[in-house]
Amino acid sequence: MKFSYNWLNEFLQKLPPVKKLAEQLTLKSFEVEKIERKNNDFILDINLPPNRFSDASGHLGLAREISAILNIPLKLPFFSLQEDQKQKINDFVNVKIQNKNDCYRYTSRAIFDVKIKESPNWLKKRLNGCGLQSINNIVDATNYVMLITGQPLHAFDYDKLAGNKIKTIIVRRAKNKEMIATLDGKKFLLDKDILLISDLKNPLAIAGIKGGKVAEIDENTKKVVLESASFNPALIRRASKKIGITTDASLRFERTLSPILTIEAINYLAWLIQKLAGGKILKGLVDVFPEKTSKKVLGFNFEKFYRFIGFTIDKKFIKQTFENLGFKIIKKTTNDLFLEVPPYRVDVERFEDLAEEILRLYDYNKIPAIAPIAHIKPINVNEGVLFRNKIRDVLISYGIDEIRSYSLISRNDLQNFNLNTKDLIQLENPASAEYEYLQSTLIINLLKIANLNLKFYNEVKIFEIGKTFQKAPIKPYEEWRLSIALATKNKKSDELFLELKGIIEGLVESLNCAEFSFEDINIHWFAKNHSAKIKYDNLDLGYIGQINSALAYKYANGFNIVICELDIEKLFKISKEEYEFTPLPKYPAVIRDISILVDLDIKVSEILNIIYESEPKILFDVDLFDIYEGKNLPENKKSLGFHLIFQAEDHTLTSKEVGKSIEKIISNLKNKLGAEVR
Amino acid sequence: MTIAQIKQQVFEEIGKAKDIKSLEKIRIKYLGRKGYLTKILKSLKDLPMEERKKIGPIANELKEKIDEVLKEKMEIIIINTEYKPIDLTLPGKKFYRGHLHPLTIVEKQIQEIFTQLGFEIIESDEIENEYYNFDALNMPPNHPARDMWDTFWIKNETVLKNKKKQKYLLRTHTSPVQIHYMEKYEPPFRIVSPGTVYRYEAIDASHDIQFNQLECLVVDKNINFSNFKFIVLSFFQKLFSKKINVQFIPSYFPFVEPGVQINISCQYCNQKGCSLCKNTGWIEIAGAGMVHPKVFECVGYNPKEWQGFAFGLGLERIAIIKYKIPDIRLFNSGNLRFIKQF
Repeated sequence: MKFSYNWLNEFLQKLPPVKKLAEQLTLKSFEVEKIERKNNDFILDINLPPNRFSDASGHLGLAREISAILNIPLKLPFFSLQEDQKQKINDFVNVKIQNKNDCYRYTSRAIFDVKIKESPNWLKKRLNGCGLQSINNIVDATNYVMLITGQPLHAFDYDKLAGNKIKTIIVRRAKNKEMIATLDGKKFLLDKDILLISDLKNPLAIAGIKGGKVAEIDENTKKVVLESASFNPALIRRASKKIGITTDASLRFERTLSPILTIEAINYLAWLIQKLAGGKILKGLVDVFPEKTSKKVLGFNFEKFYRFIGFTIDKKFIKQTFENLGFKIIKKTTNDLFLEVPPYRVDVERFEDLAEEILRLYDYNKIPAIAPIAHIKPINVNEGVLFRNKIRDVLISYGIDEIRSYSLISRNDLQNFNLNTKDLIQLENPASAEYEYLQSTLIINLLKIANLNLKFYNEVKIFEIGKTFQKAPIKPYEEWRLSIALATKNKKSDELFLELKGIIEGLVESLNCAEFSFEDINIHWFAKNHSAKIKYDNLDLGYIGQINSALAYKYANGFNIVICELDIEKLFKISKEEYEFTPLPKYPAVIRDISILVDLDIKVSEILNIIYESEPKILFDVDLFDIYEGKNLPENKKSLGFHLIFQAEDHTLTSKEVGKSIEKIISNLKNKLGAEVR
Repeated sequence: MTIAQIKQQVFEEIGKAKDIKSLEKIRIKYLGRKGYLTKILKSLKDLPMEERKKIGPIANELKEKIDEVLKEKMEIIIINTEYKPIDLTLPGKKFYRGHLHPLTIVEKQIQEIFTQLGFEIIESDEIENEYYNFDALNMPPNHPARDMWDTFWIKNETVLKNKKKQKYLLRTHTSPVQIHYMEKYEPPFRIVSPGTVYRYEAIDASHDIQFNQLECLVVDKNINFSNFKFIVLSFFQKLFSKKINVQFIPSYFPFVEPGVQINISCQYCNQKGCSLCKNTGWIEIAGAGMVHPKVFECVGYNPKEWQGFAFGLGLERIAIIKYKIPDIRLFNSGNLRFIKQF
């Protein structure tokens, strides 16, 4: 919100230089975001909190605040109203508020025989400095007084209102589909959530937001009716959102203004209009104020305050500060103050608000830092956080880089990955089409990022730990997942697949999880026969696969990408915290190698199963150390080499024992798989 | 073999030895468990005292001498062994390591600091409903302060809470975790909660639609404003340096009272003024304050009995300051030329 330094200076004596003022305001009241030089003035752009609009959104209010924080006197503007003694406003204007919860107060004055003209230069400059356009002397006067008092004001052309002599102004809800044309010529279709100012026939203004065309002030206007009102802030805010207009008035009204403001503002406005446009101010004012606001009195207990802040502040300083801020001390005892809250301070409602007043004027930076006296209790370690950090540490030790990306994907992504929009959570107001749905898998964004990096690297190894989201019956469901992608311009896809599988197996071991199985499965994202489900017992932990060529072309210029996605919570469940010792072998192991020739389509797991079944007793481990297919071998055959490791718990093995075992293994391989021993 | 024979042979053999292996053989031959000299030394105890007195010193002297000569010879062999020279300026064998995302590094540091201070780490969902993101934090519908958090709303998803239809949204701050935690647990406690938040904003060098925050909440019988300042100061001193200055200025958040903005002294320019601190010497880092009594009431705590403080800070902002990162968009970019720097 913009404030003029020169204007503030009119209400204060000895205002410090602008930089010093801004510094003090920032430290004790509101942050000054910018100081701008404009003509011979400085414009301060102040970040006014929404709860301080009532008392500080006008220059006078801000000056009052400055006078308190700098302890310098405030000079109130002086004016004396000359009312016409013959004509009384009650004979010309009548106001009705339909619902007192919509409009807390409506104050009106009328001025007859005014002359509409251009505003004088000093007025134009003032408005201009605060970012407002000059229109004519009447409209400018309403804006000018708003900038002083913070109270938005409006003027209607009396002659354009329905009715003969007595014009009735009604504050009411709009009817469904009622129309209004606003001052800027736009038309709005209204409904019953929108509050209107109307006469007996037409809507005159969208209350608190914008004036209507019907009773607009123009060059022929002779008589004006002024409005200074107080509306329900939530109602104004909802209406402003609904019709999509925000104005200087609506901005103020939606932030709770004290109804106390209307009188001073309308009186000042009437005086100013008479000064600028001549005319007679009708005697009296119409003031519909259904529920008078009562005075707020709050107690302030020093002991409580000292407990709240943890140190003591001089009582004299506290009393002085309250008084400087306009609080009236109506009673005091050794331990308590009873304070009447200034009526414009709608933000002060309780003890904590009073404490804030003292602390900020004392200066937060003078408050000591004191170590708390607190309960000692053992901390519950967040296992989930630790587990994820452990995954990260293992993966970076394998040379994989961690990335983070958006949780959002586009409709286009959904189509490419054949995801069902019904299962996905959609944003009502996406920032762009690129970020419209919450991701149900991490791999889409990981794929995009792998591709981005292939521009700079021949090989990319990345992982992400992130949330995925899905619709669910009770509430939207989210879970932590891990996705790893390996992408390369050089390697064969088989090699890449086995590398990722090895990474997963290594990770499983490091996390002390039970061993997984990899089961063939066809997922349409992946190349045929190049994907597997990762399982533990009957638990699906995730999947691994090579991105199919269509997606690889769409997302990764056709490069080979192998990717996996795992459910971290499930991984966590099957990880063991403790290790268990098995006794070291007492007798030496015997290692023998065998090399066999089998059909290409025979899986290693089948061979291993047969080997283990053949020798359940002394075969300790089997290691595949060589696979070969191609040259020098019959077509459709591959050669596999295994280390067989034999060991017994209770004796040293003899070569006879081992030899017998090997014979059995070989004969089973021959019979069951047609293997040839080489 | 007699002592004299040993004396005669052993030094000659040592003299002829060409490598460590043959030297070791000699040692075993004479001084090993069954070595010639060892045998003599072991047999001493069976000799009459007279003889023992005569032979003992000689045998021991010889043992020491052999040890000494073996050692000398070993030195000579080591010095004279020739190796093919290595070009020590050749690059070392590469062991590629992966890199943690800079936010992970910052998160880990922060988690560690707070754990040391006795805080528990709590997490909560990124999809929230209106009640937790706003209402319970003293921002009922149509509260103007809601404008401070531009919100992504979720389409067609609502839930009943307090007999009201509440819309789902992407949480705009980590503060809802305060409510979830307090609804479940009784004070006193100290918690921190890191997490991802979302804001409907135009993306530029200093704004992103998705970023990370950390929420801190302490509730106790007598936790006061000076304690609050102590924790904040200790945290930033541990995170940055002992020399850091912290400034509190008045601010407004509906869920705290008094509310403050926390600034830290600019680490770039040492408060001389630079672009990062917009020449003010101070960098805005967190929003904070004493928990508003209405928030306590909302979760069923008695505000007369409990007081506390809360603060929230942006993790990207911490990383930006710590590592001098010029553009917030880098964090979600996945660009490895960025990640590999950490």
